[in-house]
Amino acid sequence: MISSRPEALAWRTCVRSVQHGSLRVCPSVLDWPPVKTVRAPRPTGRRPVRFNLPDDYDVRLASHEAAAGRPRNELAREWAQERLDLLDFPCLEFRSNSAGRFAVVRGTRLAVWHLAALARTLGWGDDLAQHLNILPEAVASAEGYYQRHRAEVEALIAANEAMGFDEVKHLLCQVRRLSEIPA
Amino acid sequence: MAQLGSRAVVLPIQNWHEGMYVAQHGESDLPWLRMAGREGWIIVHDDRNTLLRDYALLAREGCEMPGFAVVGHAHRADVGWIARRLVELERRCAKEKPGNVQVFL
Repeated sequence: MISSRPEALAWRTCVRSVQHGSLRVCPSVLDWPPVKTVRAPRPTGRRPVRFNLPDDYDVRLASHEAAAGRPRNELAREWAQERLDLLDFPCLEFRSNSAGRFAVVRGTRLAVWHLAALARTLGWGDDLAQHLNILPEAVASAEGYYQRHRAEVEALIAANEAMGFDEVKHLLCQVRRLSEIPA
Repeated sequence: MAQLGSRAVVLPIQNWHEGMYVAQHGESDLPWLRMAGREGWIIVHDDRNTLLRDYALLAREGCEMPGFAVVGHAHRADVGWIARRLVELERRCAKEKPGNVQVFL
């Protein structure tokens, strides 16, 4: 997004010069962080949300920003999306571990991707709920989440299946196949 | 979860400590992995991409480790096959410390 402020106009001129193969940069141009004046085009269908936080929440958000090493807009977007998903799928919650952040059945560590992998054999329904000893409502929530985030969940299943014996051996060198252990 | 020895104990993780341990720690798997190590459990699971990475982090801490037994994705819904392999695991690893049991079933 380029505003109509004078410095932004100069930046636009600079960009045009680059396109014509003759870049001439004046010192005042070097002072601008381009990231502040030129932004990537917004994906279609997304509208920005602007809000102000009370001071104490702003301080807390700044500390989360520093701890996660991610900008506040990314964190706020993730939190908002998770909250909206939880309104629709109340039997789920989100958990983090060293590999990322995942939707799981509330009060368990049964990840939605794990249920989706099992559902390939057992289907989404009572068989799956019985197999895992969880409520059918939890399976329904997981199925709803899967339908909404199918690409993300399928990618997690693929990542799990890509971790074969050799990859795990690289991570944990003591691992063996059961058949290799003397009887 | 399984404990080996003269008589194996198999416990669904939702029943371990009445499910409170897993429910309580909503942000990370590390706290209950540490507890499982202290109590000498072997974790039987099909989670190679996320749980085993936490397991590797735990190994770097140098604390007591739980063991693990990985179920292949071809058998993840086959309780009978898993039970037979656990019997075989007990037969072969009964004298090993739980933390040293790191196997693909």
